Amino acid sequence: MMAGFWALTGLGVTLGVILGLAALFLLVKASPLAGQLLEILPGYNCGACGSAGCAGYAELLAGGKAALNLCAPGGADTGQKIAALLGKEAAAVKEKNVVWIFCGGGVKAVDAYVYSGMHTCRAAMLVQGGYKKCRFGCLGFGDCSKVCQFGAIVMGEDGLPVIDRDKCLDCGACIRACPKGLLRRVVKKELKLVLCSNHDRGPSARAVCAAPCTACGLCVKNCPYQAIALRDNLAVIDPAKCTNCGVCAGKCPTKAIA
Amino acid sequence: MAEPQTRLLRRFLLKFLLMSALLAILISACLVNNFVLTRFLGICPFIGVSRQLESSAGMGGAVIFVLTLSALATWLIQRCILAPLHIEYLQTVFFILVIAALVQLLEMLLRKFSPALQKMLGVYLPLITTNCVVLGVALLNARDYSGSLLAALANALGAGLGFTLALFVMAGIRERLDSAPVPAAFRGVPITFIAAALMSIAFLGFSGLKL
Repeated sequence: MMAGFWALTGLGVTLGVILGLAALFLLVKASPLAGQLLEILPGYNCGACGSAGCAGYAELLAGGKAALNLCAPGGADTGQKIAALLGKEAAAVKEKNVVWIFCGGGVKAVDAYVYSGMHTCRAAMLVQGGYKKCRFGCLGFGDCSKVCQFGAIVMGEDGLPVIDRDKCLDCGACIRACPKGLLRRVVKKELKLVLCSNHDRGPSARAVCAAPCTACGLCVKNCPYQAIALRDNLAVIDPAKCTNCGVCAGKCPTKAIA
Repeated sequence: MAEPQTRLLRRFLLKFLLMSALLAILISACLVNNFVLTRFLGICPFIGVSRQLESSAGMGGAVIFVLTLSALATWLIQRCILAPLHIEYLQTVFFILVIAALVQLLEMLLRKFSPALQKMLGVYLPLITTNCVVLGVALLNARDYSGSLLAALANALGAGLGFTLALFVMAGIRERLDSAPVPAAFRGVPITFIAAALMSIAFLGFSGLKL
C-alpha cells in the first residue's frame, strides 16, 4: 500500500521536475511581432494571401517578406492596422471585390448525355469536358460551394450556384475550384453583368442553351452610357461606365443580363 | 574441429528465430489483431482525422512515433518499478502519467530541435496523449510481453503501422465518399460508420492467418 503511494508520488514529482526543467531549457522564443499580427488578421485561414493560413502570413509579414495588402477578407481595415503596427505606409487599398458566376445555364442548358459518375465538377469535366452541350457552361455539382468556407455559395434549384454578395470575402478558393473558370472577381457594388461565357456564335450558342448571350448587340445599341461592347461573341459591360440603370437587362432577348 | 562454425550457425539460427518471432508479433499486431478494426481501440482519431489523406498520414506518423517510445517507457516502468514493488494494480495510473509526460516532453524537444518534424506532426502529437491505442498497447505489452523488450517494441510498432494502415485506407474511402451520391439520411458520419464496419469485416479475413 505505502509502496504504491510513494512510488506514484515519486514518479509524479520526478516527471514534474523534468517537464519543468524542460520548459525552462527548451523554451522557443516566438516572435512577438508575429503574434500581434496574427491577432489583427481575421483568422479565417482561407489562403487568399498565398500563405497556408493566417499564422503563415503573419510570420512572412513580421519578416518583411510579404506585401501588406494581401489579406482580402480583412480588406482595407486590416491592411491599415498592419501598416500601423509595422510602422510602414499602408499599401494602396484594393477595391472591394466579390466573386460572381458567369453562366446562366444550369437546367436551361441542354444535356449532351446522362452523366452518372462522381458528383464533382472536376470529375464530370474529365468526361468529354462535361455532360452539357455547352462546352463553357456550369456543370452544377457545386465544387465552388464545397470549397467556400464562408457559406457564401449555395447550389440553387436551377442547377447554378447562388452567391451571397455580403458573405463573399473574396478569398478566391471557388475561382480555383471551378474547372470551367466561370467564377471571376467583380467589383462589389451592384452592376449589371452578362451571365454567360459562351464564345460561340449566336445560333450555336442558342442551340445548346435557353439563356445564352448570342452577341446580338441589342444591349450595345441601347445602353445610354456606351458601357457595353461585343468581344469574342460576348457582350462585356465596363464596370467603370455602368450605372446599373437596367436598360440592357430589359432589352436582352434571352435574359442573359442580370 | 568445426567448433567456431557451429557456433556461428547456431547464432545465425537463433537470430533468425528471434527475427521471425518478432516479425510474427509485428504482423499480428498490424493485421490480424489490428487495434482499430479488431480490438476497436482508437476509434476517436480513426473517425476524427480520416477526412483527408494528408492529415491521416500526419496522425499515423505521430502515432507510430509515440507508440514505440511509450512502449519503451512503460515497459521499463513495468519492469523496474511496478513488478519489483508488487504494485501492478497501479498500472493504469502509472502508464497514463508516463505517457502524458512523455508526449509533452517529446513536443518540447521537437519544437526546439526539429521544427520541420514538429510542423508535420503538428496538432496530432498532443492529441495522442488521450489516444486509447497508446494506453491499450502499454497494458497489453505488460500482460503479454513483459519478458522481452524487443517483443514489446515489435508489438507497439505493429500496432502503430496497423493504425496508420486503417486510417489511411479509411481516408481514401472517405475522400471518395465525399463526392459520391450518398442518400441524404446516410450522408456524413453514418456512411462513415458503415464503411468502417465493412472494413472491419474485411480485416476479419486476416484472422485465419497462422503466425
